[in-house]
Amino acid sequence: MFDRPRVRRELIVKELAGELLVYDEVSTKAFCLNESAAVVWAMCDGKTTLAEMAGRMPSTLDAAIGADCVALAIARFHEDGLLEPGSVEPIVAVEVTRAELLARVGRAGLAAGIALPLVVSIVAPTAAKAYGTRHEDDNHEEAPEVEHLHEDRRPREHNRGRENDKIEF
Amino acid sequence: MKTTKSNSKRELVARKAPSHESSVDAQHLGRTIACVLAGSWRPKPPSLAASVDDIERVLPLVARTHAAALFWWRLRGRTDGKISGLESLRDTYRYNAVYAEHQEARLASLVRLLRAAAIEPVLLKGWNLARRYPSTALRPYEDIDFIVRDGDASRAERVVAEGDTSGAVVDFVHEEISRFDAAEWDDMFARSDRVTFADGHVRVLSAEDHLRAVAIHGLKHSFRNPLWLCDIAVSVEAAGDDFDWARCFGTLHPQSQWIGCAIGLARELLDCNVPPRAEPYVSALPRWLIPAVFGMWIRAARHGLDERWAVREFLASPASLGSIVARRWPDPISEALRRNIPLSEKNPWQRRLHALAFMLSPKRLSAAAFRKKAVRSVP
Repeated sequence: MFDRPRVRRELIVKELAGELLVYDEVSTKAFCLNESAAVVWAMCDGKTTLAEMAGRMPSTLDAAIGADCVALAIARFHEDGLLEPGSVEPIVAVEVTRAELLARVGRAGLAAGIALPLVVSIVAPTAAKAYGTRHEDDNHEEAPEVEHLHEDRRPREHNRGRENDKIEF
Repeated sequence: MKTTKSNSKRELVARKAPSHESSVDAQHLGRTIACVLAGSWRPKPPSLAASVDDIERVLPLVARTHAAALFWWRLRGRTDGKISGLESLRDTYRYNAVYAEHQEARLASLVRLLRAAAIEPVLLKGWNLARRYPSTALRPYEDIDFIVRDGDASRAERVVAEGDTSGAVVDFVHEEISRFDAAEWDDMFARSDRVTFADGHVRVLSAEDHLRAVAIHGLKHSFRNPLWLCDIAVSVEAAGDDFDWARCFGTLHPQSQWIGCAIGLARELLDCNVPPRAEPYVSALPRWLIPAVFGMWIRAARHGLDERWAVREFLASPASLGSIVARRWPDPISEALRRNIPLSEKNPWQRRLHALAFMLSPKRLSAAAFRKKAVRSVP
């Protein structure tokens, strides 16, 4: 029951030059998924089990690594709140880290062009308070910033205080 | 320890530098920004002559503007050297791309909501400009701007406030139309176009009325956002053979002269192709106008609307009060619109006379220096 992840229906998804962009209007956060993560994303329909997903990963992947890639991607989706609550058990998803998987795939895997699933969080550009025509009393503090939160699994607290960043112009 | 001290000193100098930067430098930075933005709205932007060093100097500033994605669009694929910081502009492009989808969904639901209340809105700016760019990711917008039949604005505001609009910022009142345009609602509505949008359609201002509104809106805010000048260029280059330039410029003075200046600026700074039929209407630019626009770009990118720099600078150096007030003084472009006068060579002298009268009032002077909001009116 908890191994059939489903992406939240209200998310906005756009494909752009081989990447998948996801916007969560509740958290006002955007995410960029690489091709491997997008493959897993497409299978998160609430019907496909994690084992079935692993079996459907590209054939260039060793079966065990395929399962780890799925687990890694699901862990990211879950951490970022992109999955329907209850559609996946958190413990299923967080057993492998990107660094561990990278070590397992090794140089040979990288040479074979195996791209590990990557989910990058894109923080809203804050540029615009400078240009707003409605918000003239707003204070403009920071330049826009993009944080690659998940490459090194920095703690979630790092992003605290940016939750309400919005483009305003 | 010594190194730390010297680093701290360097940091202090670096932090302080922007507010003291010479206007010559601001002009150079502005010129580089204009150079990169020139033609950036086209599907295939022209080749670029700016050096990597110059681009890297303006990149942190541009990253703070809404033209960041356009910058990336213009520079992508450039192979003569790695430009540091470019990837962050690409991320802005990515964000804009998916945010644009979100905005379109909001817009569709707003149109449905208003129609259900028997209000037919006409869209301007925002999506109506974004659709002219090769990708809506290049022209981000937040506010959703409509005009509605005279007398319907309050009701429309209520409908939006009471409806489920997921936090959309909707504006029904636009000075560029209500204050600066003499056109009647019925005429504007009759001229408006019906364009396909999402799963339905939406009415947008006619190309002529829209260019007029966009030009005056940009000038009203002194084109402090370089994207607004790109909007003019996009609109002018999209004008077809049937575009009625006489209607666009109208017969009101000084509005027609302002519009001529806005298009002149887009031509001068961004290499916008102005059709020969529009040439007779394009105004000669007063000499101070381009430096003023560059100054606004740099000032807005550096300080935004945070005027606390004035207090900080005054505390550091009380003798700089005069210079602080001068820099906080309303710029000549928006001031000309406020006073309903043409943009001409006389403007800077008129400003100085007003400034002199203002300086003679200590109360107003201190208010001008430290009030959070920029000075709005001149005696």
